[in-house]
Parts: sequence; structure tokens; C-alpha cells
Amino acid sequence: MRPAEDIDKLIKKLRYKASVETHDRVLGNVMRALDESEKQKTGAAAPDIWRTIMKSPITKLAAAAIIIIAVSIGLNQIISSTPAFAEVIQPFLTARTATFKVTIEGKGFPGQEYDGMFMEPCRMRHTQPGGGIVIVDLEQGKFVTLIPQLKQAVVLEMINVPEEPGDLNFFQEIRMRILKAQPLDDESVEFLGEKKLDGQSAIGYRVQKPELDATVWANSESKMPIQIEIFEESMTVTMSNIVFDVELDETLFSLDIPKDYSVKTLRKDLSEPKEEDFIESFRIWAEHMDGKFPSKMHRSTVNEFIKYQQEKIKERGIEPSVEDIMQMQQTIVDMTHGFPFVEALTPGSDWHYAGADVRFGDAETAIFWYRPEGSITYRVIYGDLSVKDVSEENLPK
Amino acid sequence: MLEDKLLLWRFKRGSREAFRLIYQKYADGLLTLAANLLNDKVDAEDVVQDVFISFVKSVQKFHLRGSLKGYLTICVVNRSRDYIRKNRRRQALTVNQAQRATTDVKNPVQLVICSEQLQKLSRAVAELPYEQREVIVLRLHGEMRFKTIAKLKNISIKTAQSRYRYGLDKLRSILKGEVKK
Repeated sequence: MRPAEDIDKLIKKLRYKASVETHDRVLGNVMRALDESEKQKTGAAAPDIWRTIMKSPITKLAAAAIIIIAVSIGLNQIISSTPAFAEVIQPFLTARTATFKVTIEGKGFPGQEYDGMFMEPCRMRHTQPGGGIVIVDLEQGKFVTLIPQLKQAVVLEMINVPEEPGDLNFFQEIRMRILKAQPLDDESVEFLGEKKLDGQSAIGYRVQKPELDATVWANSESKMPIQIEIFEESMTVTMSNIVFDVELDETLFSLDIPKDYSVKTLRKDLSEPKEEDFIESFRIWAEHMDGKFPSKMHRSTVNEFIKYQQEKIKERGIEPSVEDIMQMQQTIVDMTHGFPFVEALTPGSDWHYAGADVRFGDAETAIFWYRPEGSITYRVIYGDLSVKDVSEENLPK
Repeated sequence: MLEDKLLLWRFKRGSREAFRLIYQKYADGLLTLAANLLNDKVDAEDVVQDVFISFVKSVQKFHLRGSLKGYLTICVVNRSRDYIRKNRRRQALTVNQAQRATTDVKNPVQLVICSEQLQKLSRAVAELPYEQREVIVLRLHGEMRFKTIAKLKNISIKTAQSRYRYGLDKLRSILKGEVKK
């Protein structure tokens, strides 16, 4: 036997690979059980209706009439009902590829627009204004930006990629939201009727759920989605000109960098941020924002940071070097790592943000507090980024 | 993973192919888990089959909160334990596993492991108390964290870690003994 410390590795080798026949047998038994179960469900309902009709004190002729009326009502319902929303959004969930245009509009930052492509399992490519090309492959944990004019590539290496990293892949994000918003056959979906959209006759739906606040428009004949608008607190993201399952060349999603390009590398930690990461984000923010903290606690606030940095560069009146830009990008990447800590807090955490008017270094004024799960006291973060455990009655007013 | 949610979504809408893909993806891993827990190939197949049957029957009411792999793993663990509880003969067999494993062709690992070294290890794993074996199998074949195992078994993380450590120590001593023989 090998040295004792190898035991765990050896145990992993104790694997059971069933034969094809075994799998066929087990799968066959499961499928038969499924058939039986489905038969019982339909079989259980049908005789009851039939028995009810036949036991009623009316003649068989009247019973037949009732059945005909019942069928007619059913048909009318089918004819007059609107197409099921689940059917309309299905292509988002089943498409292997897609091409689309994304428009992002909101208060406090310039609108953005790009053409995107998606390919399963988690690949996305989009063009940036100015000719840059971004390729994201979440399975490889890489995000590559190619800038042909400068013959430069920026590689964002992602570590600790979670199972559902929707943030970096817009198409994937929509998929996840649709899945999380299930079921979608309830009163949360409103039919908006028909209208002309980009020269096509389209039917629309409004979905209002915590996981998905959106309007979806589909071609009224093919029922294929042609536009989806997602409403966030301070921005609207619209995906339009959507075409599903188009032939796309795999090389479009290649992460290989042309040989004559220079390469700069950034690193992004996608692990779940902890309190210390959250505090570090505040520190980076304050150090680059002349001692101020964010005006509010929201994803879109990052635009405030970027805008401020752009203005500072303009004020200097000197063209920033590539190194300066890379340094700034890494700062943004690091700064944005900790803030999602807030999004992971449960409603019971009773979190509050009060840092908008506080200066970095102010040890007396709280900028943020929350109650960790299972705790009776609150964690309070102050302007000097110190943290104290505070009872509810002693919280800032 | 998202792929699982999609498969589940398709299966709920009647796609048998989606279920086949789920089965193909997880069946071998679940069989390995059950076979190592029960130390019996046929019983392992029964357990995995039962788990999939109850999964397909209840899929319409099923809402996936974590990972599908994690869910199916927990089902196999629970059902394996039920299997052992209901089947008293299983306990008797467990006591005599060392002798049994040398002759019993149903032993799961013997059928697939040609290496003598691994066969010895397999017999040694079968000799472990069930609680220790369970934690080792969940950790190494179920790829579960101690925190998850502790929650699943309603024990403390320290207890889960101790069972794992004692289990491995015991394996080492069983194997040393075998070498001495």
C-alpha cells in the first residue's frame, strides 16, 4: 500500500462504472415509472368527469350535448386566449446561439450600445464603441478585450468563478433571471396586446417579479422574442434585433490573442465578497474620490466613480498612458469586488447606508450597518472604516 | 449549474430527452456513491433507481434551490441509510464484510477495480463504521464540504471532521494490519 497520506486519493479511485446494460435497465425502469405516473394522473381525472356526467339525472343525449358544449367552450378558450408567455420566452432558455443589440440607458451616465453574440455554454462576444471587441468565456474564466487600432489586448483573468456568473454575460443573466422568476404563468405576467415594432407585428408581455422586471415583445406569428427591456432601479437595458440559433463560427469566441498584439492582464476575484472586501471597496472608493463615499448603495453607482475619474483625467489635461489606464481599470475591478456584499444580505439584515455625506476618516459617524444572520447585535462601519458590534438601541439615529 | 436548471425546465415541460441527459450526467457518480455506502452493487442500483423514480414522479412540484447534483446526492445518501435500516441483514453483512468481500462477486468495487491495492482498500472501507464511511464517501465521492455534511447529518462540523479523520486513521491501521499479515 502507498503511504498513508495517499489514502484519500486512492479512495477517490474506488469508482463504480455501470455497464451499458445496467444503465439501459435502470433508465428503462425509471421511464416506465414515469409513464405509469402520467397515466395515473390523466386516468384519475378523466373517469371522474365522465362518472359525474353519467350519474347526473339527465339523459345520455343531454350528457352528449353537455360534452359538445364543454368541448366548444374549450375550443373558444383556446382560440381567444393569448399565447402562453412561457412559450414566448422559451427561446431564451433553449437557444444554442443568438445575436442581438444591447442598449443601456440611465440617469447620470452616457448611454451605451453594442452588438452582441452568444454561444452556449457561456460564451459571449460584443463590439465596443470605437471598435474594441470583448470576448467572455466563463468556462475558461477569461474576459479578453481586443483593441485593433492599438494592437492591444486586455485580458481579465477571473478567479473563483461562481456557478452562475451572470454579471459578465448579458444573455446568461437574462436566462438566469427568467429561470429564477419561474413560474411565469401567474398574475405577475400581463399581456400588453399587439403593436408594430421595427416593422414587425409584435405581441408584448410585462413581467413584474422581484427576479425579473421586464417587457418582452415577440413576433406575433412566429412567437419568437424580438426585444426584451429589463428595468433596473436607475437604468433600462434593452436587447433588440434578437435572432436565435444562427450559425456562428466558433473562432469568433476564441480567446487566442493575435501574435502582433501587446497584452495587459488584469485580475478579477469573483468569489462571494465578505465584510472585509466590502470595507476594502469603501477604502478604494474614498481614496480615489477625494475622501468621499458613494452617494448611494447601488450597482449603478460605479458610473459615479468612473465619471469622476474621467473628469480628473480631463482636468489634468495630459493624455493618460496605457499604464495609467490599466491601473485605473484594475482599481475599478478591485473596487467593485466588495460592494456586492450588500446584495447578498438578507432582508432580515436590516442594512442601512448613510455614507453619502460622510468624509473618509470620520471615526464618529457610521456609514453602514447591518445585522449578520443569527446575530442580536449590528455590525457598524464608521467613516474611518473601523467596525464595531452595536446593540439595536445604540444604532445611529 | 445553469445547464441543470435548463434541463430541469425542459423536463418539466415534457422533454424525456432532458431527463435522459440528467440521468447520463449523474448516474455513474450516484452509483459510485451508493455502491461505496452500501458496499453492494445491486443494492446501489436499486437505490439510484428509486431516487430517480421519485425524482421523475415529483418533478412538477420540484423547485431547485441549490444544485441538482447536491440534491440527488442527498437523496442517495438518505435512501442508502433507509435501505440499511430497513434491511437488517445489511448490518450483519457489514460486520462480516472482510470475509464476505473476498468471495462476494456483488461487491461493487471488485467488479471494476483490477488493482489488488484498490481491492484491499475497498474491503477496508467496507469495514469502517457506517458513520465514518458515510462522511468519507460524501467528502471524497460526493465532493461535499464538511459544513454541508454536518448540516445534512445534523452534526457539528467538528464531528464531521473527526469522523473523517478517524475513518482515514482506521483505514490506515486496517491496511497496515493487512500488510503485516
